[in-house]
Amino acid sequence: MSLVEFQNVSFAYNKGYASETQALDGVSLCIEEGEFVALVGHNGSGKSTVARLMNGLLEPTDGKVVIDGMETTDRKSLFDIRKTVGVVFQNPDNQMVATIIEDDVAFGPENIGLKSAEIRERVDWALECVGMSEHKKGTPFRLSGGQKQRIAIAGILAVKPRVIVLDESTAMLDPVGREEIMDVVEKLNREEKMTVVMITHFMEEALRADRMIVLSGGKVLMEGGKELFERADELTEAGLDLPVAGDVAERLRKDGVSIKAGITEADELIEALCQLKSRI
Amino acid sequence: MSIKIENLRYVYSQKTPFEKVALDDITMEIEDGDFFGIIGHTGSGKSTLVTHFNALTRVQSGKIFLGEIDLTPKKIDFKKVRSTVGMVFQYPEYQLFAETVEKDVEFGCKNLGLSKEECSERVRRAIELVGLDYESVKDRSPFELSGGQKRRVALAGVLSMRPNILVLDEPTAGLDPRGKREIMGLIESVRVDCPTTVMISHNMDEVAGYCDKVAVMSGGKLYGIFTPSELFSQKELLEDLGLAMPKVTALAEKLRERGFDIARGIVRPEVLVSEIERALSS
Repeated sequence: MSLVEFQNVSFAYNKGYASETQALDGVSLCIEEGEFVALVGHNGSGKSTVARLMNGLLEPTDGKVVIDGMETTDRKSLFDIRKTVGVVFQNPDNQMVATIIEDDVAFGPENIGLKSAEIRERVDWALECVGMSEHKKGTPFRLSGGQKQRIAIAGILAVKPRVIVLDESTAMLDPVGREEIMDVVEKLNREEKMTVVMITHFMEEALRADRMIVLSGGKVLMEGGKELFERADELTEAGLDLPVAGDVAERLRKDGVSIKAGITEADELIEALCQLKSRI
Repeated sequence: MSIKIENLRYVYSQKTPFEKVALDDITMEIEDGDFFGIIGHTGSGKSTLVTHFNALTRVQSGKIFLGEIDLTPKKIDFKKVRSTVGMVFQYPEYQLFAETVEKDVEFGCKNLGLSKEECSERVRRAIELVGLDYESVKDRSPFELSGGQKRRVALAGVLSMRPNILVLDEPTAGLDPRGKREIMGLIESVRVDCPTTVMISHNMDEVAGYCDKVAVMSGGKLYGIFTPSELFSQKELLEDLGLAMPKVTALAEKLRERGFDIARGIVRPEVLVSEIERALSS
């Protein structure tokens, strides 16, 4: 059994009303313990709905979402499900609950009834992870957007969920801040064996995952590793950009330059071009 | 309309233990017709600077002029200032509030005290300007629209006030690649009506692709003002400031290092492609 299982899940917002919109349509997917999965797709493809279904904020209109053997429609399991799956959302302003940063981060661990020494330890660790320890006595409302997002991530980390879902949580950060968060996420995945589901538009971020799931129009369009980038046209069709090296490689290929399909990294492209040059 | 800033300094929570210098002696000028980019780390003072432009943040010390309007005195004509500078904040769709798109877009110009006819004419024009069909969206709830559409509605609300200067804080954050291109295209097309545009962005590819000038902020100070190709051909400087190169520029730079004869400061993929092809065939 996988840690996260979607069995033929459909979801419609405003079911039964004129404004009914089908967000997910028969989605089946599995995420294993310890995996780092990127969930990508255009706006409105259903990515955020998947995140909300994963911790029972939404219930499927059809099909089943099973987290570590617990169904999200089972009210009695909801507490345990939310302890298992932590979601960090897009907008940090909507996720702040306290006026002091360390209190904000402590909110989660307090709610799951930990002893105060343990809470202290986890709050310090979580703030350390996101590089915000020096701000712990400050107030989140004085921070910049990117800094607030780090606090929101720390708040989830402090609960030590087995799965952390980041729903475009780096969208508000600058490239350097984004890189820092990506490093934190990778470290959590590697060292703490935390399962990571990263929802993103940034293909460079998606490339760092073990596996990529591409959603389009509420369905799973494709699933797999880096080999998906060989299907460049389908990705573009689904409203996604190729990583820049892939984009340049693809344009060169279309102009008849003979390099292989599915290039994603700058170094790969440079090697291919150097070989080509030496042959001329 | 130009914005002139002289020795601007701003301190948050002055005379409290939380005192923090957000802007430190900023002097610069944004000229009429500029597409002016502002970049810098989170917390470098970008937002504090631009909220001065429409007097949301008031001048503590130093001076700001919007054309001939002096923003320094305590008493200023707020209506005039707010209709001169249109401010589009980060994630503007979170600020939608009315029951219908029309009412939402109308809010700003209604507050300016314009006549009903004038207002509805402006609202129609603004909604069309952002690429939405007036008749089909005007009576819909803004909350039913998609993320990209909501952002357009929010932008229309600002445009309906017919600003002379448009200030955008991270206008494409959170949009997918297609949505990003659409919004940037839209901003370009709006410049016919409102040529002076100030854009805060973390997306170096966008800054490189659209701005004429780029101000670099660092720790509350203005580091300098550059053209995109000047700025992005200085690898060491960018590294020192903790700023990324546009991805295309970085790739071009790596190819140069490997002996490819490619021009400096390339910021667009199609240019890089033709440079590579030229280098391969020579």
